[in-house]
Amino acid sequence: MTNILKKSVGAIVAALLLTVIPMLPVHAASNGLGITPRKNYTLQPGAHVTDTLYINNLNKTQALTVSLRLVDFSAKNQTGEPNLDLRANASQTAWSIKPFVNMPGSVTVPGGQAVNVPITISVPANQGAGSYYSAVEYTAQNTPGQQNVTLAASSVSLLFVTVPGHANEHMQLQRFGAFVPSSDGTSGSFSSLFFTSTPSTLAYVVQNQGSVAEQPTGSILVKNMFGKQVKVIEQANPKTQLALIGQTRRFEACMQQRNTVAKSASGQDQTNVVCESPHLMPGRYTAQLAVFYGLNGNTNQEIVGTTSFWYLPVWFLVVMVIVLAALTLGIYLLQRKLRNRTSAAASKKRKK
Amino acid sequence: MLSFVVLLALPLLAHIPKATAGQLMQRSLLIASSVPSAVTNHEFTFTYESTTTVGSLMFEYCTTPLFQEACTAPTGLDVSGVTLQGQGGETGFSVFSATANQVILTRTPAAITQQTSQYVFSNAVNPSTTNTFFVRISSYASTDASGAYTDAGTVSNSTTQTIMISTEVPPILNFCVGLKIPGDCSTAEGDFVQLGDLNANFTSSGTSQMWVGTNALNGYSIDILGTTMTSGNNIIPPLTTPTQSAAGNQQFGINLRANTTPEVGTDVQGPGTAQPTANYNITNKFSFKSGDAIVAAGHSSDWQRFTASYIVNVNAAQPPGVYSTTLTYICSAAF
Repeated sequence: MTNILKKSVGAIVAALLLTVIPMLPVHAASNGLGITPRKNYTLQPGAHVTDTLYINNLNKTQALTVSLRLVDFSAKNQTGEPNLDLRANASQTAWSIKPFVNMPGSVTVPGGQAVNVPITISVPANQGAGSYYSAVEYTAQNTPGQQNVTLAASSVSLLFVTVPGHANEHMQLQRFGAFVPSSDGTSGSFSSLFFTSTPSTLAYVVQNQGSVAEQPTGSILVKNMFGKQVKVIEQANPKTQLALIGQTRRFEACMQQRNTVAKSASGQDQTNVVCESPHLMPGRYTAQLAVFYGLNGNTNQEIVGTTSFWYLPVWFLVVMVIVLAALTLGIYLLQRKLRNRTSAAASKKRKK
Repeated sequence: MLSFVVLLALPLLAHIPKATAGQLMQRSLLIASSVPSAVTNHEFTFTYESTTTVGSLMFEYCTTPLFQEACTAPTGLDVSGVTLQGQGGETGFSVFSATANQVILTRTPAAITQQTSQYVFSNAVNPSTTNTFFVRISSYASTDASGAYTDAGTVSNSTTQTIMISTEVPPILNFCVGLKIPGDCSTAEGDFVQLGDLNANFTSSGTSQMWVGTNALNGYSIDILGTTMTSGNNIIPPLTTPTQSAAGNQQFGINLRANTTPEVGTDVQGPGTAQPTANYNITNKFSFKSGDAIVAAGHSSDWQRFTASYIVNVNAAQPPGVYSTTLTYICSAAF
């Protein structure tokens, strides 16, 4: 009885202690950020550039205090998703631009306004040719609370610096074929047989083994089984995507692409790339890839590849089965008729 | 139809015709100024593979690289007024003809003896847009680039915009988080999520919202960064794989769906195309791993409002205390 009483008291005390502090008043600081997501620079060794970073406070009344810091990144997967190294003591990557950049550590943006934060990038005179990149992380500063979950918002601008000259440029084609992308466009799978829908996307995977973040460009020809050219994909890298140093990157291209530009609800021009059905006839198709890469003045490198895929829609297979069945039946009936005729003739002979 | 069946088997015998000509190797194009519409020098370097007679060279500027394709001239490009400023290796050439996107060099036909060669055009006008362009180079035995080519190859280069300093450079990535965002980011309010009293008998839950949109062509992702809920050294273990909420167990997790058990959260709203990533896109299943991408869009995406639902469960042995965490949502455009 004493034990039960002790346990009950303990449970009540524990429940009371687990109770959290009531919520504080709403924090009066903005964390709405509008930023430029990517910037590219080409700088000779020894050169420098002064530019600005655009930060827009999306809250019309509350001030936005943003801390800025440089973080290094690599590729997270075969897409263009950056893998940010946000550790405070993270070691610098070989391609980091941290030593080149000078910018303020924080900035305050009044409500509803935008500022252009100055940034200077200086490339040392002895810097080797290649690509160098890091990201600027903008963190809206909140007051840490003792609440259950404190929220913080952060955005990044990716900064790419190309130092021209003779650099090690090498990419290797790993895969090329018809591709079925996921609905959000971030993943998908290769396939060489299509039964339900026309293949609308071709993709190739390359591994970047050089010291330059490469942006391959080129085209893809699609031919039918008679060797006739049925599609030309003029932009094999339609979104001008990059393969980072060391990354295995997948590039996708629509067989028939439609670009739509519309004004978004937020007032931005929204360009959407839509892969339309290429209206292929059933059969086997061959695609020929030719993409090029290389810094200005460097030897152009070429990646070539060939792949094939079948488009055999279900309706076509059903028709084929019916036709084959009809043919088989026809041959069977013909054979039977011939056999009957032969045996009838033979029996007639015997009777004679 | 029978003929179609037979023809269907033909590709097994089909082959891509291969050119018997040689290749121009070690090709490069150096543009003295990459600024659009600049009047500049274009320097070509390549190595002839064949050592046969060459009497002319054709340089054709196109928007695509393959010789099988029809050539479309890059917008604004003009090489009709070029002069052959310099040549090295195989020399003796002069300009035979020049149009807006095609230059033909000619010489008295002679066998190739210096395979690595350079040709510099001055007074070339770059394309007017910031785009990649290709130059299809081919050599001929004839003096006017007629007949079949002996060697061929393509080089690519691009024009790039000089650095612009302006108040707003598109594209833009807009992002905010808040306890509630009834409209766009200007309406965001609250930085804290209150999950109420933690109790072994029921699930504590709460929500926060994110508003995001970009016209960046490659899309974006949102990562979540932080720790599970802690109180001093005591922690509530996170759900590292999508798991249903179960009162009386130690669990901390989030998802971005409208859930029924417990009844918390809302599905994504807005016209954009981004979606929660797989582990955070299952109704009634929650997960949390610092560094995970929770939202991803492979294309530019109009605005969307995502609602993050948080669940916390404790068992009776959970040490008492005030449990808290700071979660940072990081939004970055793809490259």
